[in-house]
Amino acid sequence: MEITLLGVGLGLYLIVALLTAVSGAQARFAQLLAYSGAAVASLLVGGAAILICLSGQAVSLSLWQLISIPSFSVQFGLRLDPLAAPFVLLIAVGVFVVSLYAPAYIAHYPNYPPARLGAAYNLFALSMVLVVTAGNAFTFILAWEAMSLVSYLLVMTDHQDKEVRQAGFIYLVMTHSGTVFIIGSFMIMYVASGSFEFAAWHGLGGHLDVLTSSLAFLAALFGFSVKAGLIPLHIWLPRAHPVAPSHISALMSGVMLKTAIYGLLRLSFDFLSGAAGVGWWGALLLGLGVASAILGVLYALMERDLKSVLAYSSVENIGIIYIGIGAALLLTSTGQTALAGIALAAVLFHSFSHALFKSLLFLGAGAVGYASGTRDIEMLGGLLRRIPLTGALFLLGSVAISGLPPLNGFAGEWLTLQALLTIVNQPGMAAPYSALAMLVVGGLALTAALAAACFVRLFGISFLGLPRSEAVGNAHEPPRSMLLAMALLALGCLGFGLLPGLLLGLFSTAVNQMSGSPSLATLQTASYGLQSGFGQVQPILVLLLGLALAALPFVIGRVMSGGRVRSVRTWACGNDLKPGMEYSGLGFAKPLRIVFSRLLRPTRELETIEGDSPYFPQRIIYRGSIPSLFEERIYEPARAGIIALSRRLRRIQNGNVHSYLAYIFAALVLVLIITRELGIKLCSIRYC
Amino acid sequence: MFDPLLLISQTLLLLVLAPLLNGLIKKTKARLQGRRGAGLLQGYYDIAKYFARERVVSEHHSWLLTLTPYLVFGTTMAAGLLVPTFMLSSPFGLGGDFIMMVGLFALGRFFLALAGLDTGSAFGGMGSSREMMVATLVEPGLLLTLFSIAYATGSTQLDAMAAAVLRSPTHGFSPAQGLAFAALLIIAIAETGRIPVDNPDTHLELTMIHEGMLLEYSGPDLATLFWATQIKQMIILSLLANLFLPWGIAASGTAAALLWGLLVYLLKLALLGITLAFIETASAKLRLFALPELLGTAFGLAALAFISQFIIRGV
Repeated sequence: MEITLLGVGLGLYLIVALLTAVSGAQARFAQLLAYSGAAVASLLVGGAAILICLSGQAVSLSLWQLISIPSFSVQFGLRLDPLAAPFVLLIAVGVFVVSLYAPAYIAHYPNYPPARLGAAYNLFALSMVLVVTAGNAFTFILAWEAMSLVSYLLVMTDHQDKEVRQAGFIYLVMTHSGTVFIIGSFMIMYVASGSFEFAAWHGLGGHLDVLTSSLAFLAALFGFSVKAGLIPLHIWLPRAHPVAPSHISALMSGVMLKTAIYGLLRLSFDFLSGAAGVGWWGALLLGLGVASAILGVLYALMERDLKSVLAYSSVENIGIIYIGIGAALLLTSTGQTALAGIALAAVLFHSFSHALFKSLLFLGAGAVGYASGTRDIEMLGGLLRRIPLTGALFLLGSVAISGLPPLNGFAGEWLTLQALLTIVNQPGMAAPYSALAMLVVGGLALTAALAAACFVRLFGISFLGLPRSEAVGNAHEPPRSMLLAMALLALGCLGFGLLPGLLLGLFSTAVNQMSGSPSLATLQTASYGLQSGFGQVQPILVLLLGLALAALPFVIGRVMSGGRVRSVRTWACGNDLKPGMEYSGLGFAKPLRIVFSRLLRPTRELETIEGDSPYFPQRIIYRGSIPSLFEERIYEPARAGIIALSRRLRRIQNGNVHSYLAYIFAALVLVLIITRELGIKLCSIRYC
Repeated sequence: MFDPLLLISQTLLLLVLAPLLNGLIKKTKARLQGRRGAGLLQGYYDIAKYFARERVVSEHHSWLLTLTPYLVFGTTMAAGLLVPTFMLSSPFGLGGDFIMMVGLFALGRFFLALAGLDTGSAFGGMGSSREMMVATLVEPGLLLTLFSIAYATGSTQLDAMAAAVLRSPTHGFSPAQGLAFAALLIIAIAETGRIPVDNPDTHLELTMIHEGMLLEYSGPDLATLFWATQIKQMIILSLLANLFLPWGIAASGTAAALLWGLLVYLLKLALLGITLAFIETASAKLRLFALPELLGTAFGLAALAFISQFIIRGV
């Protein structure tokens, strides 16, 4: 049953993609076909995922032979097991909602080719599901590459723009560097197990020595972290996500990053499970995660492009997810696999929550672009009165991403904090790891506060106050289909925030497979709230209580003042209120820029153009920027070094045919020697 | 965990006593400054006065400005019911633990800051910007302090934490507790918006952090916000009282224990309030960018409290 659903869904993506690609210039038909096809396929695939989540069984599907030589055959095979199911569900939900949003959004931009975008969109969805359901290394790498290439094409939709071309190129280079390391890690595991099948790699960590398993872990960590956008491998993310069409940014940020999280979970808790003495893996992830979280949100606070803020915020949330994975690894390394359940629940919950609210925010940013034509928050303002529905939905997304109760961001952070407390309270945990967990708690609190500041700034400057430019004047609500898509996501944020236990129930089997802990029923309370060994939260009860209590002063006020209201101009010290008087995004973030200047290293330049007298300048120009430190100190030197090295190596290309013939001869001799040596070695292992 | 009688009595206690506590702090400050000061009950008269006035709103406002005072009040009261006051159990403990309490305060602050930006006035923006900066500096210290106590007591539920401190062999006297108390006292000053962090008595630009965000409200909205601020102050002082000085709290439901618990609770609140007043009078307001040092000290004290817990536990 599940296999049928999965198979039909995937096939539908492919067929729809092909049909759309060949449907030519009929824009409306292409749109309808592409996005309704994608929506239906998502429902099918999502249904399969839910069934697997509930039943806890694994199903596999072998499609066709990729390689078939006597000693070696590889199938294009899929495997949907409880670990993959939550991620398939995440992809399905994301693609479904964005399919509702996309037609109206794309129709607004006449220079977008609708047929090709629709085809690429379906291929993107297909490749993401294939990555998560791949059953062996070949299928995984094929799907991973397809996903990277199709997303590159989608990022390059506005390829006339130089900035877009640069962003796409950097994305392509970074993602392929990562893929190389993933392949390297898979090769290590192939040599250790003799097979490419993922099923055969389970528990390999127990059979490998610490050095080899650490090498495999670090290589794959590097590879997946590039795709996930962890600092310092994040430089492509704030370039690529803002320039892509908003619905694609939503899918990339909300969904594609989670495929990397899936890869990391599969690696740590399936392939390399059973590895001993590897607490430092967890500590490494904790450190990287907290650094990524703090730096990500600090950079987000300093951006003025709506989508750049959201892109850096994704870096922050990936950091929070890595904290959860690190906590789970630390707990399993002490042998307490059952306790890791809460950390793994936090990882899955936060991944799903982030998919919901980040997609909501990106779709909202698209709606703002649709309404006002600009993404620059310093040009916006007062949108809440002109596009109230979009504003309300964007507000809900902002509250959710800031980790405030009673929405789903808070529940995810609560679970992560409880997991960290579990680490500290573990009697067998080494003291440095407990101290690290304690510092990470402080870091996580800092991140949450900075994220709240970031989204107060983002929402406040864009939607509140007075309009700062003409762009806002003609703002009107986007079409109902776009609002519906956002409303569905908002409903998810609210629903899973009030009743987080519902979602935990779905993830039980996944956590069970990863950690062997009993079902997550112990983490749920009667009213679908959350509980751990240390405390409990029941957001829905708190909401009801808060509403009841808030009514008190409202009633008193109504009774005593009689509801009299008088509307006047805002006080501006006696002057007329002008848009220039209100706070700007730059000004809002300035105190934080100063407090964190050691981390951010802002540059500033002040230029005074004098008038007749030096005491009365004609103009004062202020230029400030936040340099990209990682690019300046890591990537630029690396790039310069590689180019310098290749210049030196180019000397062998001296244009002389005789030396080229000599090179060929030398290479042949070398290859013969190596294969003879290697042949002897391989023979001694297994291949003769 | 859920006792309707305690719920109602604690709600009434918070609602009724908060202005009196604020009045006590103001009176103490006045006396220390050589003034007679307003009466202890002035807070009630002020709130009643504002409730009866008309609402004057900016023509640029949105529904957010209208909603915020009541949302802040609701979140503050809900957080207040998670905290134990005169009895050793929180009336709404099954709603959440201290993470939920901190989250509820953060929710109120989020909307207050947004509403500050709503009318397009520069004062509101300034208040919002500075408030979010101070919040960034306060939250790590606050969560780490509470976590260090949670680590010592094995629970994140506030009433269980208070009970564990009461039962502990050292009766709550330990270096870790002392360090955590010092950290939480500094944080309490920041959260209640008192000198040296912010000046609650003036509306000048230089001293506007919390007050800046309240400028655009009038009438019942302003009354609600003042009341909510006073309730938050009372909640934070209750936290200080019951997590570090829990002796005398009513552990059982007998009339004698409850009466004694109530009396001791009022005394502790009064003492802590007077302490705050002394700190306010004895120090000057810090420059805004000197706050990271002060609040970083609180974070450092909290970290030390945590580490000393390790040493005590022998981990």
